[in-house]
Amino acid sequence: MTTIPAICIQFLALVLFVLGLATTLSRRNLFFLLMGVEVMLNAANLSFVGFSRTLPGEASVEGLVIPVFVIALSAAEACVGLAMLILVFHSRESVDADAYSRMKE
Amino acid sequence: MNQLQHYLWLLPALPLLGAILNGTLSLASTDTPNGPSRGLSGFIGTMASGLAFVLTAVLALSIRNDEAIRQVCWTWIDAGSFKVNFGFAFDSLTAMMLLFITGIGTLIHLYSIGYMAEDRGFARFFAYLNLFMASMIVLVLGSNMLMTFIGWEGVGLCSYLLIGFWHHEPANGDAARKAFLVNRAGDLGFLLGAFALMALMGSNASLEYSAIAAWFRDSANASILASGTGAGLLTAACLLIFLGCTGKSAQIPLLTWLPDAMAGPTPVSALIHAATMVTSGVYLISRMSDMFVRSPLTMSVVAGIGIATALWAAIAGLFQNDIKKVLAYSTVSQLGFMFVAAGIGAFDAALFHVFTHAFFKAALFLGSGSVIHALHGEQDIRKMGGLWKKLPLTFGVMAAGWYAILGLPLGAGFWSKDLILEKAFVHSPLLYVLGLSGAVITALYMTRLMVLTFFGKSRDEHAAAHAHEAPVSMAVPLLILGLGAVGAGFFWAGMIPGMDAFQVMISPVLSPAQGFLSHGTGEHHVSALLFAAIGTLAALVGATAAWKIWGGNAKVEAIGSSAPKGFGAHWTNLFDYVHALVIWPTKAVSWIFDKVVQTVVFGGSIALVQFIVELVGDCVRSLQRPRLRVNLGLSLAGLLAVLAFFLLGAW
Amino acid sequence: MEHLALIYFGIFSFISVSCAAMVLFARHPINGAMALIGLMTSLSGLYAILHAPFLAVLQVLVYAGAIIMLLVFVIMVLNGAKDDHTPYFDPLSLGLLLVPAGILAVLVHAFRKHPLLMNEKAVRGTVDITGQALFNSSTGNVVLFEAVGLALLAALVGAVLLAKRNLDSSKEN
Repeated sequence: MTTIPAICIQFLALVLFVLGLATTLSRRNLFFLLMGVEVMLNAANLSFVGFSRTLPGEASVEGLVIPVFVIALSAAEACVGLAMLILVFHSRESVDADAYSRMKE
Repeated sequence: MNQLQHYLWLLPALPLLGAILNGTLSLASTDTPNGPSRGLSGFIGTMASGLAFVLTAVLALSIRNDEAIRQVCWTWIDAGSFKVNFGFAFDSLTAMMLLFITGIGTLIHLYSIGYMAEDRGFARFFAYLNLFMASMIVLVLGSNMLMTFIGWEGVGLCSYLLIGFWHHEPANGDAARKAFLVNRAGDLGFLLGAFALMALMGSNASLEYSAIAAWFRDSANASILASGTGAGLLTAACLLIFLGCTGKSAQIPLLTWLPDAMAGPTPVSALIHAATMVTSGVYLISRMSDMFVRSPLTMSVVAGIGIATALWAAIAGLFQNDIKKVLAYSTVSQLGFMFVAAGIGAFDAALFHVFTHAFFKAALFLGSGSVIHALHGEQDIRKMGGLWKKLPLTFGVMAAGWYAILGLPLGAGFWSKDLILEKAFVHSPLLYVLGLSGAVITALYMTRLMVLTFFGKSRDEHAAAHAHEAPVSMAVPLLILGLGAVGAGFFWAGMIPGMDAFQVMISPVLSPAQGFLSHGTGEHHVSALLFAAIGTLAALVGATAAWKIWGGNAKVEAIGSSAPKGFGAHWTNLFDYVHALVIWPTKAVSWIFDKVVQTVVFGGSIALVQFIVELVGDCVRSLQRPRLRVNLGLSLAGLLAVLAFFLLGAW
Repeated sequence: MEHLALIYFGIFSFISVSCAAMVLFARHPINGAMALIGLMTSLSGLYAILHAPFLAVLQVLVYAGAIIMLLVFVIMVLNGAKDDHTPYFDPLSLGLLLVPAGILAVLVHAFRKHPLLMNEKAVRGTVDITGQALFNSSTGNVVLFEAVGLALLAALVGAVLLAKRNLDSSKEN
């Protein structure tokens, strides 16, 4: 069977998550904000799958079910997020997140 | 023990449900031209109370005298070793109280259907009445002092609501507020007394009655009570709780509210201000009898206050011209007799007088209500007279009540009042003499009331001509209560062997306390027959004197309002003057607080807080940037702080 | 053969971390999207060697196939080349990078203190087993599944509404 150390998977997930978070926080381009969110969601999925391998029998399946939901919800998120991106882009002609600092208008 | 303990919560819940339903009805019918449906809300109200009575009867029949059924609904307060349950306890004392509370309550609900039929606030009235029943049941059924306090406050609230029921009249609102405020003073005593009791019990502090009784009965705690602080705390606790009782039961000094409370509808006066709520002080003292008997000073105070109240109120009753005010002072006076009995350690006699008094005073009040109803609101007895031909049933019932309160042979008061006087003689002959003179004055004012109302010539022909007997829904409760006024005494007819069901029933609860008092003094043997004869003689003397003075066609002038004048007015208002002595300094202090403390201390501190908040707000606002990244980054920094705290702190 | 899984794990980890780093540092959104595809695919491979073939397939179908495709499509529609004037990294961004760095440090510290072992009895996440767990009414997953379906529907409607307003405003212009 596999000899991958369980902790390595979690470290990998952590590194991916932090990279995604860094992307979302530090990039000003709205596209990169969304991509960072996707990276973070995938890191979380990987963490779930990794943890599911540490559980015995039926309990391990739950770790495989939650990523299914996460994937479906991230599809919904991308759908709405991109629609909104198109909308704000049309109103301000910019994909700079800092340009949208006056949301009331 | 059986399954019945799971149904205890239903007892208060049924009237509470009735109150909710009637309240909804009342609100729903606000804009309709005729108001709520009389039949429906009357039916709901009476059924809610009646079902509670049936349930009480079933429970009372199914328990033995020396057992108690308990139900703990949930834990209310759980602070360290101190625990308070939201729980009920049903023992023989509770059973006795609940039987007459729900029984007479149901009758008065029934009576109110007729009495209040013309009133627009019919459903509101029944909602309040049902709420009162629920509160009163909680008061009596609660298994600890805090539960009793809920009921205690609840009945105070309902009393306030019902005294001010006809709130279009400003005087009624004033009377309601007075009742509420005077009761609040007593409630403060109740709470402080409970705290003093907890301080006394120390680490075993509990508000459960069973735990309190066990603590006082435990001889291991005698040394605590003997010590200086222990004795002081015990006296403080007893006196403060007794202060609560004086507020609720209208004793000196907190009695001025009860005569004013007659502003409420007559069924309310009968139910709350004669039969049930005002007796809760006697109930509380009896419930905590194990504590009170260990403080001889408090017992003397209780007896002294009781006899003083009994005499003062009886004399005040002589000066009243309002039919309900006479009865109100009579109630205060009779409550005084009950406290005399409690003060000399005869708790069973006190409760027996509570029981019989509930019947005959309810009968008298409902009878007076019937008279007022017949005369379309006239309450001045100087304007009545000769009504016995017009209102034979009412006259019969009130005569039964009169017979009972005077203590004439075989009436309810004959057994209970003479029992108290007999025990008072054993305790102290002076107390007996004072009590006996109280009985003479009672006979005097009650006979005056009866003579002026029902005999002689009619002094207001116009009103008397339209007088009519009460409808059936009023007549049936009148009849039952009239029979009760005569017959209730036979539950403890001391002179007849075997007729002591009442004493046998409640003795398991009270006998430890009463045994503690009589311990060592030995049994006194007195002739009950002699006391009965003297008591009867005293009543006859008073009645005959009253007949001589006011009987026949004596001239009675009805000028101006029914309030007493001259010396009578000063006597009646004696304790209002006493209250003024308290109220004036209170007003002065509150004026100082209003002008000085309010503006300088509170105003200053508020301005300071405002200044700080503004300063901080200005600083923080400059930090805020309308940038998505910064907001997100700062919130994640907060998350990081939490993570670091838990992950790094735990290892 | 024992070491084969470990070798594959190393390869896929390397690809995924470098792709995530490319997303962070890419100048043009289209480059980022391409790197994202690489990340998704390598994650799919990781799922496969972690005995979750169903998720591996789903990852390729939904993420690499649908979501990234949508992203690339939108980048094309809005003509991301216009974005030349959006700054790349500014001092504020670099300051904010402290937060992810802090999270990384704290979690690494926590992981190192806690042992974690693979369980030999873990089941293989085939379509059959995952599907049964998904529709097992006793665990309540079915309700979750329906809720996710509802969320997807809501997202669909929301996207349509947003796009419609967009069309209306462009018509006015």
